[in-house]
Amino acid sequence: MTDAPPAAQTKPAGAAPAVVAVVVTHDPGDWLEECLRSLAAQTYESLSVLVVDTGSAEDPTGRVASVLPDARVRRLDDDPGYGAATNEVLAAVEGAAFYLLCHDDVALAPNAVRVLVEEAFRTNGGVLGPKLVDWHEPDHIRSVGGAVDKAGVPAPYAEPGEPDQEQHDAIRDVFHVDGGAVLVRADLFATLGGFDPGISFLGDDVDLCWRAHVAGARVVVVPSAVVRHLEALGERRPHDDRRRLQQRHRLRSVLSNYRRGTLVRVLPQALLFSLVEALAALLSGRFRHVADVVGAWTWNLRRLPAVWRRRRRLARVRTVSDAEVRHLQVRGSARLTAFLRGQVGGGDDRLGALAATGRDLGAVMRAPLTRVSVVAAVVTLALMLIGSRNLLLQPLPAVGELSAFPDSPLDLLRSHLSSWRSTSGGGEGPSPTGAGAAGLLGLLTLGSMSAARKLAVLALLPAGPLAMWRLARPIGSIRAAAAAVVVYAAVPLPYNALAGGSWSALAAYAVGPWIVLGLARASGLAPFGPIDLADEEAAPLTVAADLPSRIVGLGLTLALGALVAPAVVPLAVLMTLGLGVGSVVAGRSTGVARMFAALTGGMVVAVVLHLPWSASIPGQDWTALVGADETSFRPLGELLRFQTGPFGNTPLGWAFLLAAALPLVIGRGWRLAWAVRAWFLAVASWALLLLAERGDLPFDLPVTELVLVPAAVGLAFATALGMAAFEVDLRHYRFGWRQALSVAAALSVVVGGVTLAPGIVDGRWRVPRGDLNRALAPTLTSDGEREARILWLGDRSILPLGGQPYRDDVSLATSDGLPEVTDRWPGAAHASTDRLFDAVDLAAARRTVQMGHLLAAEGVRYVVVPVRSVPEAYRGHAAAPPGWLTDLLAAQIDLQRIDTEPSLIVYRNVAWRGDVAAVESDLDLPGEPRGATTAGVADPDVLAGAPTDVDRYEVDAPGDRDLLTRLPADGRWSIDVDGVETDAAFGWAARHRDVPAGTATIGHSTPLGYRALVLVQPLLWLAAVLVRNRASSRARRAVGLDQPDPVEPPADGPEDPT
Amino acid sequence: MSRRAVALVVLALLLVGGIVLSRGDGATTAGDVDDSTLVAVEPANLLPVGPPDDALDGAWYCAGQSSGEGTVADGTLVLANVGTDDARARVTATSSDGEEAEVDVDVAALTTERLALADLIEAEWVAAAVHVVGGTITVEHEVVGPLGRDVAPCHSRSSDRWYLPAGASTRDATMALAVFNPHAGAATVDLSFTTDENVREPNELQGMLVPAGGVVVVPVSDLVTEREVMATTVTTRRGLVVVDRIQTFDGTGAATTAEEIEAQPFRRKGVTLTPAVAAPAEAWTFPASVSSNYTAERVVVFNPGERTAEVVIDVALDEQERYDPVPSVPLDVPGGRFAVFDVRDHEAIPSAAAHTLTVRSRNEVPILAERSLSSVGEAPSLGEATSTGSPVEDTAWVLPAGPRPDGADDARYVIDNPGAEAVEVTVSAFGDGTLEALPDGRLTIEAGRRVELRPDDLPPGRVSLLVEASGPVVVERRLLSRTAAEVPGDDEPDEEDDAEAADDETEDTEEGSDDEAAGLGTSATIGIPLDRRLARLG
Repeated sequence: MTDAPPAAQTKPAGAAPAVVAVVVTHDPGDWLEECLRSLAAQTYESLSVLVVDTGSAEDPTGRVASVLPDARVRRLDDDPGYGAATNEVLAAVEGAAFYLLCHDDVALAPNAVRVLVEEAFRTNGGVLGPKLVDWHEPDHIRSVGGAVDKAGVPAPYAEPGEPDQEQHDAIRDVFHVDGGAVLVRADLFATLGGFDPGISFLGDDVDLCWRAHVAGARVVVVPSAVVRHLEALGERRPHDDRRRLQQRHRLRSVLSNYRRGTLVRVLPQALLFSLVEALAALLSGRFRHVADVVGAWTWNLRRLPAVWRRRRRLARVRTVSDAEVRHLQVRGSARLTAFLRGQVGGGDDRLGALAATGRDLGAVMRAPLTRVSVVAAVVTLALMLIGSRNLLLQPLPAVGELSAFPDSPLDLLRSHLSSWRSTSGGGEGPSPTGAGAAGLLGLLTLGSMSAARKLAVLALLPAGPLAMWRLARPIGSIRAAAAAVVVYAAVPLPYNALAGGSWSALAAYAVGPWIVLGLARASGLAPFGPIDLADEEAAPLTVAADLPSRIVGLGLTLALGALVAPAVVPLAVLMTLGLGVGSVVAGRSTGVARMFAALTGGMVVAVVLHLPWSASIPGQDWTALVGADETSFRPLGELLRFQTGPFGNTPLGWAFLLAAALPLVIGRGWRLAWAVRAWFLAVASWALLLLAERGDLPFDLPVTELVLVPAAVGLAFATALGMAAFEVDLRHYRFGWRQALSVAAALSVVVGGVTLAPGIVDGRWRVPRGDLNRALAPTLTSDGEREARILWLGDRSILPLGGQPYRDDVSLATSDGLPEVTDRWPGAAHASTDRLFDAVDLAAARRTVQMGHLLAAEGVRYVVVPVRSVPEAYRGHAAAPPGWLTDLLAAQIDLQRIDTEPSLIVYRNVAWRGDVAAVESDLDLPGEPRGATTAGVADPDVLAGAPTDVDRYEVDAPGDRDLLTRLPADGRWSIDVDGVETDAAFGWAARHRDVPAGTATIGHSTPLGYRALVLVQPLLWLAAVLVRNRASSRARRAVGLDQPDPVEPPADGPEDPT
Repeated sequence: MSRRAVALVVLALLLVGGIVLSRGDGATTAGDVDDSTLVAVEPANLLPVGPPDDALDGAWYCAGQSSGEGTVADGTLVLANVGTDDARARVTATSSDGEEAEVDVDVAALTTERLALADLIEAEWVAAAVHVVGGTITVEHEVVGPLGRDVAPCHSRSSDRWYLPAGASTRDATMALAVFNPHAGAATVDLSFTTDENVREPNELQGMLVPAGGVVVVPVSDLVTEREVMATTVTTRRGLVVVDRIQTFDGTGAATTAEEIEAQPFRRKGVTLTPAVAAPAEAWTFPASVSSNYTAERVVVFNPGERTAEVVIDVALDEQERYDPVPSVPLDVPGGRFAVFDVRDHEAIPSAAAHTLTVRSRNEVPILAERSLSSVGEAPSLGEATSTGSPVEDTAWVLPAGPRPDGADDARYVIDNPGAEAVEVTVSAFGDGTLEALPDGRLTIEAGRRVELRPDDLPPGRVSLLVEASGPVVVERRLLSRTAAEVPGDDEPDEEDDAEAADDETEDTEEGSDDEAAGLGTSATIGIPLDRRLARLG
């Protein structure tokens, strides 16, 4: 044993060419001996072995010598990575014809080297790979080579874990072979400079093969050479580390190996794929995944000089064009394909996917049908994208709840940090978490609030079906999951929500499947857990994390939904009730208690994550909180077809009901039980809406589309279960009507999907092209007071901001200028809200005709009553204001009607005196606001019509006069004139006495405790995400460790398959 | 039963239950666009209504009058504070020339103040806005001119739409519309006139600008000539206005040919001030109706909508025991047209019998109605009295303007009980700071009956009346002027018998038939309800 460079084993002339096996070790497990024994057992005579140890804690020399006394061992001080360690052979070995580059966890069939060398000569191959099979289950394939897509993402020819039935045993050219064991011509290896030393682990094999192709060499897989592979790297490196390395190294190969012209075309596409992947990961809460995708680009950007050197080196040996190389690559995105096939996500690598896929019901599928299903799902999502094209490319109007975002994310964040709220008249109160989240989103989009807004709204559309995919995947059938995606994407619900501007319904649509998934996982019921699993069935695909982590996960989901729609939380209660009742009816109530426990815990988590805003919920009006919508009342037929807007008014809308009914008829075991639960999920929605229609509910319901989300989830999930039942359960019945019903159900899915077609035409799902802001803006601009306060009164279903309920479905709200996203959530009523109510009360009772004076005390410049949800030219939803409202406004002598677009009734308050006005010091103000009509605040000097900042005014005080503001004199607001601070006096409006001349700053001080709580809030979210992810990782690792005990191979190794 | 069967049965039952429970009455969906902007008009918007007792402030708008002695309709505002709190009113008078004057008037509790607009400003036409702080003030305006006098409530609100069902532009008539914009922004107004032939929309009256706080008087009779009846519709493109009509008849008669003289023997004379009506309604009642040899009673029913209104006219006679019941008279009014109901054409309605006349739409098509009482010939009080009737009922009514202080005028107050139960009524007078029931002011009115009173013994200074009832009633006042000349003989009506009131007029007329100096000026005005139990007429 020596670490001196070994000479290739010399053989007499005519003997076999010398092969040097290079085994790279690093803290090898007990599999090393097995590996070395397999090399020792090779029937190829001219084989010598070089073991390169990369800084193992324990010197393996002794272990090597015990098996291969002639082997050379070269020890490195540290671990430079597999590629760099293997490259040691270039310096250490002379005279070899081939190198057999091996991991330390492979076991070769005795004839493997001989077969590979023979094929090297026969095919003139430069790089040859064996068929890699599973270490423990040699009848399952690990790899038979594969292709890559243009972005360097591998597309293996065989499914990892696919049973080996010799279906891949043809010798063929491939783009790459797996690096577990590779025979490479020594001269080629030297010409290429060996592996890329910049690629430590993972991706080195693809890169080497790619460069071999560029140099004109063939890469061939030789399935008759069999090698068992343990993939012990999966245990030595954490999952997320592997993913990070894969991302980086794929991009490095792309940057290094394409010609410049090709790179110009391919790189933007690769960037697009990365963005899509990052977005998908973001939506599914895998933030580390997002960081890995983004980090791959920054990592390579930092290494551009090294990449440039590698490109120059490769250029010297390049003999083949990229076009020829591309013939061996696959078209499209292998990453997307892998995702759709369930290989990205929780088990996001081929190592983890192996165990999972082996248990997948997909093993019993016929591939063509699977492809049809997957294609159907992809096409459905593509139609969704095509149907949204104009919304993506053109401005998104602020229709309904789709409020405009401010120009800068910093405005939102500043507003979020202040305890002063301008909604509902203005007052102290916590900012809704959604406003802060919108600000952060604006930062993520580099300050483009338009992009942030589109992302916040339109991303919810595909997020729903993607979430549905995740919900249906544990069923174990790709086709079932695809059917669920088709149904969930094709129900009219999200498009009606979009057309009506219901952001909250879209949010509920996106998180609805996640809520059900969280509840299902918490229940532990099959297929989400081991409970209720028949003896003959395999263990579930989904790993079982502990209940606390499930609670955190569900809480995160609820909190995410509540960012936009607080009504998601009561919606989750409805879902749990539906699932619970369904369980009882199905006769399988086990797990229901865990569901309710998870729900309770999840709600607590959500409340904590929304602190400090959630602390104000007890003081908020239910109707204002959930955004109640009185247009929720529709006949059952419309509800069953989700016909709540322009979509769904077609007989095809009944198709999904038929498809969802299938599992009730043919399902067995847990599929039947979950089908019943899914149906009761839907029944819960419909029953609630029916009760509302009959006036039997003591509370208002949120917008109809939101309440229908459980029904959509239930139908889609039931359809998926029907597909699974079709695959698994139908065989238990004799041929008859059930088979015919199954066909009809399958057709129903396709037919139901056609309902998407009308929306695709206009490319905007009939979202109106204009909004009320457009109708109102000219008035504000012409008056020069774009940020002046507006009092909104009108039907809450068309009010473009959140309001406090008044009466007869009329709500009251205020906004400083045109409504923005911060006005979406009205919060609790303030004292100013009561004063506004009082003013309207007085006018409604005909007790005053000078409401403008009363409103002036609250800074109201305009009174706006919407008549339609959008300007008349864009149709939309009309809701005529009640007569008493228009009458009371018309009777006011200090409100001046303004000519506007007919969708709005706008009055200008001629008694307006701004937010800050200078008045004479001897002015005697009344003791209560209603006395304002006689206050005689004639011709005040308006100093500020709107805040300079969120909670600050800067005015030029004229001196020797009082400053009268609309702000409360509660100690939070103070005035500072050239460094001299005075407190406000007076009661219902702040009055600052004898303010000297100078620049006066009227500012609001937010309590430090509140500000600290707001700053801690993101940390709470981060902690929750980490807790949830760690629990998931633990659970996944548990699954990995739960592999069958290693099968002790026979002493003489596996049989020669040849 | 297997689990599958249980689930299927339960789901089927739920589905059936849902279908049964669902009303399925075609509720509107979010996607459907409801283009209807018609809203039910509140009763308080159908006619001038007094403010509630605890009002902080209020406003009244008196659009049509002239100011100055000898002008066609010299106006005087009558402000009556029926509340227990003192009030202050700021009266802003604006002339049609743009001149403006302002005065504050203190109106103590239970007092009545009169303000001659000529004291503020003299002009051909003047409008006045009365902004009130405190108290419960109601306002009427009284106009007096060479051709007679009239009294009418001012408007308690502005509107974007006004109707006047009748009006004339015959050779003996002048008709002017005073369009007053009391608000800060300018208003743009369109006027149209429905005649028996067509609808006239004079170009100069389309898009007519009414400046902020200004009044524009439209001489309609100069633009739409020789129309015995025409209905007026005023709409605004922007802004809100109030509209009054000032109509005069010079007594020369409308007829120009012998045939016309035969068809229309009356030679009307007088001035009428009629506030326009903001919205149509399904029923209108005219409690103080009468028809006699010298008093022609005529009702014009205008249907501003598109569907034909199936109208019936009911006449409830005062002396129901004496006469046979009058059958309902059907009257179909096509959309956009008017129809004229002349009482004397119906023999079933006895002459000189006082009555309540009610116009109702049977098919829910809202209509408007206007009654005119033309006292001509040898009547003791010549004049025109027009009223657009009442579409509401209430338990409290105010009549701010009473008889002239010198007692030369005669007044009659009719209280009609349109309900199905008897009501207890108290009639009180106020105006000098006190409120006191009249000696004969406590009475019971049976269901469907009316009572006509003559408050001849009002204490000095108590010139306003408050009518309070235990149930909803409708109050109308008729004023008869005798200031033109002393009428010889016993002109005091028989106060004992309300049913003979109308006969008295006839007798007066007969007695005075040889006297050419008959009184000039009559008026008929619905009172001002106080919105205590205000409701549409049932």
